[in-house]
Amino acid sequence: MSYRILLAMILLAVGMPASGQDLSADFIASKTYPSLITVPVVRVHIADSDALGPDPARWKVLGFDPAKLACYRISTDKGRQITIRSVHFARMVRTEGPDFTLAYLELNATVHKGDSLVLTVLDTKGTPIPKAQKTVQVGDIQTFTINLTPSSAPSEPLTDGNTRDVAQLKVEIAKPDLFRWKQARTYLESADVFSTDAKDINSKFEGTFGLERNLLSSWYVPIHGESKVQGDQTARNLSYLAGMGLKTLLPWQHAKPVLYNSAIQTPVSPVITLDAQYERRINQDAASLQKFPNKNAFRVNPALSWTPIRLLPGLTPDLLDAEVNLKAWYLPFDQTVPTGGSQRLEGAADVSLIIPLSKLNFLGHGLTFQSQGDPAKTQIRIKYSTGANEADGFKHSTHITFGVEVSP
Amino acid sequence: MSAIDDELQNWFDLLEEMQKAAKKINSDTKNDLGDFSQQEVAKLLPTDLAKQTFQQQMSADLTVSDDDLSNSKTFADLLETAHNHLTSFVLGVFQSIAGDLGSPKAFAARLTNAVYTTDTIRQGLISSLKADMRRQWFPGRTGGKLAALGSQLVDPENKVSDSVTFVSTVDPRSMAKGKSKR
Repeated sequence: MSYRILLAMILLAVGMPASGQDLSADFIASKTYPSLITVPVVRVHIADSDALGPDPARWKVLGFDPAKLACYRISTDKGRQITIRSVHFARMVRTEGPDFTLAYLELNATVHKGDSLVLTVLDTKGTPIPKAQKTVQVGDIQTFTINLTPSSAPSEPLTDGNTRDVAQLKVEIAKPDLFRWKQARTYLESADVFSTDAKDINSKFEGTFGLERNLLSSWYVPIHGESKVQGDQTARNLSYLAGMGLKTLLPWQHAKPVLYNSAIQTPVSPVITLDAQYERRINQDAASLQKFPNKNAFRVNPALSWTPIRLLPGLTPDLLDAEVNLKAWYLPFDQTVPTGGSQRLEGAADVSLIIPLSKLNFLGHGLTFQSQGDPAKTQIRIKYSTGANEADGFKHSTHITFGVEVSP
Repeated sequence: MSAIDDELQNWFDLLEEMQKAAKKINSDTKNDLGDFSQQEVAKLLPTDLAKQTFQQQMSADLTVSDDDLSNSKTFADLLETAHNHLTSFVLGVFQSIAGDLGSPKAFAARLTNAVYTTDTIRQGLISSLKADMRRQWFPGRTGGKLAALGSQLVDPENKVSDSVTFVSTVDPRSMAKGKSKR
């Protein structure tokens, strides 16, 4: 082994920056709470940087004050200066004061994925600290997206029942942070298909304005509200939709004494989702009127998904797992029968039992060799489903399915 | 206690905060901090929602990005990616006790017996590390690393970086005990 390789291994082993990189910094897309706005941030690992180090006594000798915005300068590789909006720090857990060994430099939102930024750390007099420089690549951050995709569609079906060759233009526009509100992320999205024939059944426009924020300060409960207008290209069918939804886990540490033992283990909380949507049908053509005679539609759709549920783990780990999915729909404007019916309330449930193939070794080695080392690699699923099928007009059915799942 | 000692303690405090956040999400989270540090991020936070909940729970102390979560195998890796390496703080204590304000990289290459020349300074270093670190790292689960570090420091061929790596490595739990826990 050469001396250089040995030296590199020692440096890596003690976690130091590689030779020539005396400042440690990277780019992150940082999510803020409760607004859920994503902001571009250059993160400076001050303690990991050989040019600065972790010791405040050394910073004083170098004339570096981590709390001063003037001690950081960021420019593009072409020399354009990037505005640093603010500098803040990780937190000392015990004192709740700033942890100056890790600085977050929040940037102006004008940076884009792939940009090269040069970070220079300066002393309080504005002189660059020797070797305190690092080139940082801007990663995945979306500030504004517009996609235009032209295409040809031969034999496209039309609303009058005919077909013809048409040209289409698919337009997608997204602005994930519309206003810089502290309370919520505001977003605007549009997904449209414009056709050279107004009767093209696939033409559409859809404009969405939404707000999203975290509901609680103590737990992650992202909630969103949306206002949407959608219709076809000439607005023969036009609807206004208003909706809200949330998705969360439950804080699960208190469940451990009851739901984590040798008989049953449910290590994670069920995923709980709730969606509600109101639709006002403003314009409808004859076909739509026949299918949806009511101008108003409203639905509430709670759901619960729980996996994994380990059964008898005290006997053998990964012997038998279960999964549970529950769904319900409440549609007050829909009637169960055309006249004299009640408001529609539907439900569906499925329960799966999952047996790793590796546990069936008593049936022969040939059946189980694929699962060696990973019980989830090949497994048998026995699924019992009952209740309404949303995709099939809420028709009810009950069935049991058996399947073998193979993961690569 | 110096600022560098607080920083080293804070690294472990942050790891404990990660452990608390993970416990709220997944009951498979181990109680022992050393064991937790070696648990796999992808196994304790298997879904996007679990990862997002973890990020929100950590956000008051530390920003954990999506890339940090996907690029880190263990929680110790995650903290080193999202914050700083443990070795940087341990080296900081080694350097601070020696009264050296130069480059950490240059200091790490020095021989320990030339830096820590008296028994008093060696004991001062060991006491600081013992006070700042969790026992699973130093002095080790059974305290065995105390004497070993003492011997290292007077070894004429031992570098500061060797001792920093030694001190910063979590003491593995014995196999028999490790197997009994999920």
